[in-house]
Amino acid sequence: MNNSLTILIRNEISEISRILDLIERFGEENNISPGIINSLNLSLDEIITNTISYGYKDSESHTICVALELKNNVINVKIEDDGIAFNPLEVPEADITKPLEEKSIGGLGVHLVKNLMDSVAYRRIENKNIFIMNKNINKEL
Amino acid sequence: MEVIQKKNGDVIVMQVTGKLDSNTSGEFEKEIIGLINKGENKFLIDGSRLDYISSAGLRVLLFSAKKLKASGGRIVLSSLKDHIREVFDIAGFSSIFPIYESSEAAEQNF
Repeated sequence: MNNSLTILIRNEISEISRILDLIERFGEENNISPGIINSLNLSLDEIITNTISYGYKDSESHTICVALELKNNVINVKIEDDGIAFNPLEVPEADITKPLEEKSIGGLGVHLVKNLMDSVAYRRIENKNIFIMNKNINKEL
Repeated sequence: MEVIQKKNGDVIVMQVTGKLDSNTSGEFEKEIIGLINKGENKFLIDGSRLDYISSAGLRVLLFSAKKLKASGGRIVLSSLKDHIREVFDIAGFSSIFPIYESSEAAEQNF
């Protein structure tokens, strides 16, 4: 049983699959249902893809830190990056009721995260973006 | 991600295996848009082997469906795993894409 996990990745899209694989393994080791692991992975993917795509104004290599902890049946996830200040929770959420012609993908990632996780929060501390998510592993949607 | 593609009558069946995410969606987009540009306009995405979809994958489906709308074509899906179906529901995609239990049912209803 391994109750916590810290993953450091470079700011490259190809790094995300490494996180997804490690979290799948973490889920298996801790008997977390595949549905919950999918919710976690998708939420991490959406937030980190955003950070990597829009968070850096230089072409340097940056490190993004993902820390997971399972405690009292709740998974806590913290994503930390040194990109430009960006609060994903301020992105206007997608209106999912719109018909095909008017539907757009903007804000869909954040909409998914808010609905898949039990709670989400953003903080800016000392030039770092900190995004926190919680999910009770006994609570399927 | 791997796509196995076949044609049944005038329906293009695409069975997607693995993950449709920001890494792989570009490849899938190239494939489906290529077919649309060749004049194909009926698509069945068989999701029985699709393990994961993110908004990057959903974007390709939405973009393709919009493109097809102009030519009277459409995309339907079948055999989605529960956790994928859940993502479709939350994203509001279940109301714009017909989703069938099996690929046979989908083809019958085209």
